[in-house]
Parts: sequence; C-alpha cells; structure tokens
Amino acid sequence: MKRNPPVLLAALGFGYAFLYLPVLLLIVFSFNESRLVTVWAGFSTRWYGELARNERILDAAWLSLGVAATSATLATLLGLAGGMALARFGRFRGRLLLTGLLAAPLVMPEVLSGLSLLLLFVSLDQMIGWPGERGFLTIVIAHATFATAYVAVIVQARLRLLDPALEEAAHDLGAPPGRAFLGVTLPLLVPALAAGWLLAFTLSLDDLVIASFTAGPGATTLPMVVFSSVRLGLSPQVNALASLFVLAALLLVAAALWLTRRGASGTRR
Amino acid sequence: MTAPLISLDGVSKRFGEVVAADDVSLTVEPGEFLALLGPSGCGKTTLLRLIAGFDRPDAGRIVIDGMDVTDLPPWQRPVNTVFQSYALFPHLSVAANIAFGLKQDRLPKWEIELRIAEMLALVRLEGEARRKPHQLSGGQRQRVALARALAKRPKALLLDEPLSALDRKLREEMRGELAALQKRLGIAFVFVTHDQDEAMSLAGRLAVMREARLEQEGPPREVYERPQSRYVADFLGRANLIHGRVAGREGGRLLIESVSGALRLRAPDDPALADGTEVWLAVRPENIGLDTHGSPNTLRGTVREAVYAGDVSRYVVEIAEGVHLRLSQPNRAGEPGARPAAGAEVAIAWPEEAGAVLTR
Amino acid sequence: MMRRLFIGAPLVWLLAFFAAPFVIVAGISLVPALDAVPPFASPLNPANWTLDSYRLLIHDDLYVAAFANALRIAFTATAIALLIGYPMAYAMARAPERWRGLLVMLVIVPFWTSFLIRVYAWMLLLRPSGLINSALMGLGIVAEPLPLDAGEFAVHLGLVYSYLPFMVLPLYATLERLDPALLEAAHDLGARPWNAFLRVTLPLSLPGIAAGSLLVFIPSVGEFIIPDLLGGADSPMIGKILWTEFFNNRDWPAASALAVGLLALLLAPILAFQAIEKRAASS
Repeated sequence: MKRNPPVLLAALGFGYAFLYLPVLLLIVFSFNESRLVTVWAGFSTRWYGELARNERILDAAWLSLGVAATSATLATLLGLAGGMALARFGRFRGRLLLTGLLAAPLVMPEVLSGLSLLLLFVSLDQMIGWPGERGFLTIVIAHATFATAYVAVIVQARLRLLDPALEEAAHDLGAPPGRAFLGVTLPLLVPALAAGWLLAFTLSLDDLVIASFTAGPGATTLPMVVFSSVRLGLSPQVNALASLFVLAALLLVAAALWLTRRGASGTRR
Repeated sequence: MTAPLISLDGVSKRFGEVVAADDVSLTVEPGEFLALLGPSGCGKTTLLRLIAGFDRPDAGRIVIDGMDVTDLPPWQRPVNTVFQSYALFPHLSVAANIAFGLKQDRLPKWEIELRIAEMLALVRLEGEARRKPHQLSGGQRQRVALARALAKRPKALLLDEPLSALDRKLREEMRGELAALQKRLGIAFVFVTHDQDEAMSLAGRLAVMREARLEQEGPPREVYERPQSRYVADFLGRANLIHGRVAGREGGRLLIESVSGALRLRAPDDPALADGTEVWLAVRPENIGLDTHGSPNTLRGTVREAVYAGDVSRYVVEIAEGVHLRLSQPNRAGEPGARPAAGAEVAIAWPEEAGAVLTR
Repeated sequence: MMRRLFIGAPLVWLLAFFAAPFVIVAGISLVPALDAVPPFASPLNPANWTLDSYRLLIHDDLYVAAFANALRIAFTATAIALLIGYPMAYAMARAPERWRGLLVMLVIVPFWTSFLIRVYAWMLLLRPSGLINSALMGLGIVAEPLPLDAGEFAVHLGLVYSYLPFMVLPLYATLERLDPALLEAAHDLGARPWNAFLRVTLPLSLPGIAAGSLLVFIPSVGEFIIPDLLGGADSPMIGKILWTEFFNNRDWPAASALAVGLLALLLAPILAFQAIEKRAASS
C-alpha cells in the first residue's frame, strides 16, 4: 500500500481535530475555577463538587439510568428475536413488513418518532385508560422501540458472519431448534447482544427529543435537565457533567470494543 | 439379498427456479463407501442434505434403515454429517463438541465420558480434549468433526467435501485415514466430492451426477472402463470421442464409420445397435499405443503436439482431416521406445475391447 | 413455536409502537385543535374531519419557509460533510492496515458521546466571549467579536460536526473494499493518479457517497436540537417549528400536519437509502 500524500494526511488530521477539539476544550474548562465558563481562572474541581450536591441533576440521572437499563434490556430481547427472524428463518409471512419496521426507526427523525408515540399514548389513555400518567414506563417503551432496530442490526450482522452449518450441525447431532438455539446460537451471540445492549443503553441515556415528548410532567431525564439549563445560558456544572458523560462514553466504547474483539473468534473461515 | 440401508426413491427438490434434484433414485448398502461425484452445482450436496434432513424433498421418499424418514427433521434421523466447513462449535472445547450429540440423547455422564475417550483415541487427538477449535490445525479440526459425528454411532456417516479445506499433502494423508476408519468401523459412508481422484481412490461405488440427475453408478472400475455416456467418459479421466455411425459387423466386431475422415474402426459388438445408428466411440488416451502389433484398429497419422510430462508423454495425433486423438505413453526408465516429435508420421492402435460405444 | 415467538414479538411490538402511532398522527392532523385535554377534537368522529391544518401548511409563510430552510440547510451541510468526509475516509482506507481499526474507532467514539453535549461544546466556542472570538481578537484579526453563534453559520457547523461520522463510515466501508489492484491496473494502462481517481475510485465509491449523504441529510432535515441551541430567529427549521407548535402553542393538529409533511418530504430519501442498503447487502 502506498503512503498517503501530505494533503490527505492534513485532511485526516483536520477531520479528527474537528471531531475532538471542541469536546477536549469542554473537558479542560470543566476544571475552570471561574463561573464565567469561557475565561480561564485556574484549576479547580469545585463544579464537580457542586454537581454531586445538585439534587435535581442526581434525581434525573437515576431516572435516566433506570430508563436506559430497562429499555436496553427490552430492546435486546426484541432485537434478538427480530435479528434471528430476518437472518435465519428464510421466507415467512410478514417478512417484508418486519424488515421495514426494523429499518425505519434507524432513519426516522426524532421529532416524528417522539410526537407520534406521545399521540399514541394520549389516544390509548383516552380509549382504554392506559398508560395513565406518563413517565418512566412511557419513556422506556419509546426508547425500547427505537433501540430494537439497532440491536437487530448488530444481531443480524453477527449471524451473517456465523456459519449457518453450525445450527445444522446441532440439528444433525440430535438437537431440536429450541435446544440448538440455547446450546449453540445464543452463546455465540452473547458478545453481539452485549454490544447491542450497550448501544441501546447509550442511545437512551443520550436522548432528549423522544424523552421530552413521551415523559409526563413528573418525569425529567438527565438530558432534559441539561437542555433546560443550557437554554438558560452556559453553566460550569454542565461542563463538569458533560465531561463525565464523555468519560462514561469512553468506558462504554472500550467495553463494546472488547466484546466485539472477543466475539470475532468463531466466525466462519 | 439384504435390504439397503438408505434408499432414495424418485426424490426431487427445487429451490425457486433451480432444480437441484430431479427424480433421483439411489440406494446405499450397509457398510459400503459410496461417493457422490459431479461438478459443482450438479446437486450432489443437495442429495446429501436431503438424506441428512436439512432440506425436505418436493417429491419422492427417503428410507433409512427400514424407516421412512421423508418427513422427519434432522434431529430424529439416525445419520450424522461431517460438514464442508466442519461447523465445529467455536465456544465449546473439543471434548464438549464430541459430547454435544450424546447429551442430546441424554446418555449417562459416565457413558459420555467413555465415548469421548473412545472417539479421541479413534482420531488420535487424546491430548487435545480441552482445546477450542480455533486452537487446532486444519487437519485436527477435520478429525474433531469426524469424531463428533461418529460419537453417536450413526447408521451412516454423511461427508460433504470433507477434505476440500485442506492443502494437498494433508488431503492425501486424510484420504488414507478415512479409508482405514471406514473399514474398521464398518458403517456406511456417503461421500460428496467433485474430485474424481478422491472418489476413485476411496469409494467402493461411485454415483456420478449431472445437472440434478444421476448419470451412472457402479464400482469405480466399471464406471471408468464402461462409461455409459460421453459425459461420464469425459468427466472421469479423459476420453477421445470419435463421432460415427454403425456401418455393420465383421468377425463378431462392430464396425464404425467416422463422420469426418471416413475411418473404419472396430469395437466390441452390441446387439442392440442397428446399422446406421449414430454413436460415439470413446477411447482413453492411455489405451492407445504407438506400437501397433498388427492390431486391426491400426491408423496412421501425424503428430501435432508432443509433450513430456514426467510420468507420461502426451501426444496429439491427427488421424484424418480434423480428427485428433490424444494419447499418453508411460515413461519407464530403461525403455527408450519411440518418442516421436511434432510433425512425425506415426502408426497408432488400440485393442478393440478398449473402445466403448456410446449412444448419448 | 419458537419461530412464531421470534417473528411475532418484534412484529407486534413495532406495529403497536412504531407503525400505529403514525396512523394516529395522520388522524390528528385532520381534526381541529381544541382548548381541552387532550387539545384536539376526536378523529374517530368523521364530522370533525377538516383539511385546515394542511391549508395552513401550504399558505403560512412561516411553515413554507421552515420546510425550505430545512431542506436548503440540510443540503449544504451534507455537501460540506462530504467535502470533509471523503478525503478523511480515503486517507483512512489507504492507511497501513494496523492503523485502520484505530482510525475507524476514533470516528465512532463521538457517536457514543452525548449529542447534546457535543452541540453544547460548540456553544462554548462560538459565543461572542467564546474561545474562537477571543483568539481572533487576541491575534488582532478582528476588532469586534464576530456573531458566530445563533445563526445559520452555527447551524451548519453543528450539523456537519454532529453527523460527520455518518458520512465517513459508509464512505470508508466502500473505499476500503476497493481492490488496490484496480488502481494499479489504471496506472498500468496509463492513467495518472488524478485521472485514475476520477475514472476508477470515484465511480466505484458512489454507493458509499449516496449512503453517507442520505445518512447526513435525512436526520438533518428534521433536526431539532441544533437549530434550537445554535440557530437564530432568522432561519427557523421545520423540526424546531414542530416542537414550538407542540410544546409552546399546544396546537397538536398543526404539529401533526407538520409531521406528515416532513415524513412525506423524507419518504423518497428514506426509500432510496433502504434500496442502497439492500443492494449492498446482496452483493
């Protein structure tokens, strides 16, 4: 392979600088002593301390973590089922429909998804008295719905790399479909499911728009708190919170990467 | 006459537009080594998958060991498969791979342990029980696949191109091991391959397939020496095919007049052939000699190509306008013999019995 | 049994919580708004049906401008992202193999960090007292802080920044699969590097260009956070107008009609994207 000419290397450097510099500066300024977020006044961790005492943010963080964990788990189960159906079941009635339903959420603008789900919840509540007060449950349903599509993509990609003869071998050795799935397919999907769960978790934790639509007046997620305080002006506490978000994301990426690496063994040829 | 172990009766299978098996009837006898041979896409793997139960036939019946299995799923059939990709479970150790099928049968733990040990000894992998498949060499994986399928003591072992993923030297080694294993265990092997050398050297019986149909079956020697069609004659080894017509009989021999070049050739008689029937005379290159010994099938011609290929020398001889024959002569040390060069005039001949008269 | 569960569970769930809601949106877009809870007339009663919200959609200058702005800004942002992303992806694909995994990873990481936080980072940089203006004034390039934030410039920047990974990754995937022997063959046949690029690499990477551009364009059109936090009053985008109609004006039928309009606008690009994906998956 020939080496990249300087122009291309410059383009690459510019691209990465563009992607990373703003976030790096954000982290640097989270350690700024000054209340004025853009003027450097010495190193300090005071905003992290204030963050840890901010009840509103802590409550919102716990709600967000709960929503993210629950919706990610639901999405993983549904995405596993959908991914298996599309990658392994050949032709069946409703295949085209399922394919479309699993692909559309990936490209649907969030305002559309959020608005439509809220209107569903409102209409359902009018007709059958469910789900009642909107909050934890409705956000979980909304997030699970959109994350299912992402998990299904990951599961399908993994299944496509797995030798289909593995399942046939299990059948051949006397295992009916249920036992072949539990004994062979599921263990081999564990890394993909873990990566899918992490992605679903992150998407949920990150979402502002859909949560804003589907949350009731009593429920406020972390991004909603961040958004409302950012709208009112820049806040050094948000800098600190943002830095923690980035750190958490780095840990999640590292975990996902490790899982994918581990999962790479046992792919065909 | 014992009942066949496996019998396929008028089995057909199509995938969309593609016909993969077209009214195939075939039997496998207990303890025999049958090779399904044909070019890729001829339907031989489909036939194996139909026996294993991965695909269901659109028409026809499949009987294994006296039981109609046509509608049985693979997990209820008394046969096991060695896959082309081996399909070893990557998350399980060698021992756990071998134990997988035994656990499905709910065998007691002690018996599973016993069988694992027995199988590891059979394929000489005693030291590798705890390894994972990705830690093994290609040949070792192949042997684990064998052990896993044999552990269930199947009525027949189905092998789908099991040697194709190995390099040539290992392939030849494994050939010997497979043959020895089959002889020792005495169970039927059904072996799918596109490699005619492999099929001929391993199998007790060949079934040659062509475009989803069974073209010819029989012992390797019979299929090679008595092909029933131009396709089989030229797929197994090489054959010179001389297009002609039956021109009569002379001294218990069939006389064939070639379409181009007005040659009169003698071949073994076949009472079913009337005068004037269109035929092809198939003669293998190694049966044509450069020394004529006064054979009645002696022809004169011009050498057009002469190639020294180590064990043999190969020639193309033009015996009439547009009629070329290939012949090969063994090169034995101390037998200088005649080594004509291109352009030389030669006489060539073959014993009449070596010619096969084909009508299709 | 297992089959039925695996097909049925996601199918029923997505029909209930993804497909059905759009039917309801369509229904509510057809009824008048009410000052009640919920704030719209029942779409189940045909007597309530009206096209008023759609008439508004076509005749209200604000709405028309919001759709036009969204399409125009999304288009330019996509073009800019392509101009930045293509050379990046090309350099990544030509990098030594042991580096490529890391380079790809570095493009994916921002995708995992909070979208909101990344937009917020630009607010810090672009405001009048922000780092960019401080630097420009410190260097004496400008005397007054430039009005970088709260405007179309900032919205473009935010869109390109947020969606650049979606452009780079599909481009990289197609460029990396290209057989280097194709370029060598082009050189061998006398094409100079630039010519070989134009006649071989570029045409072969068109599927990646299309996929990446659609992945940037589609979410950009409906984007809310970026125009809200970085945009000004001069050029509202449809996502923000929809949000305002819904949360501030509580005109749910109007918001629903806007949603139907947005979906109609995006239908063609979404179908195009799925067609590209399908072709890529089958080859």
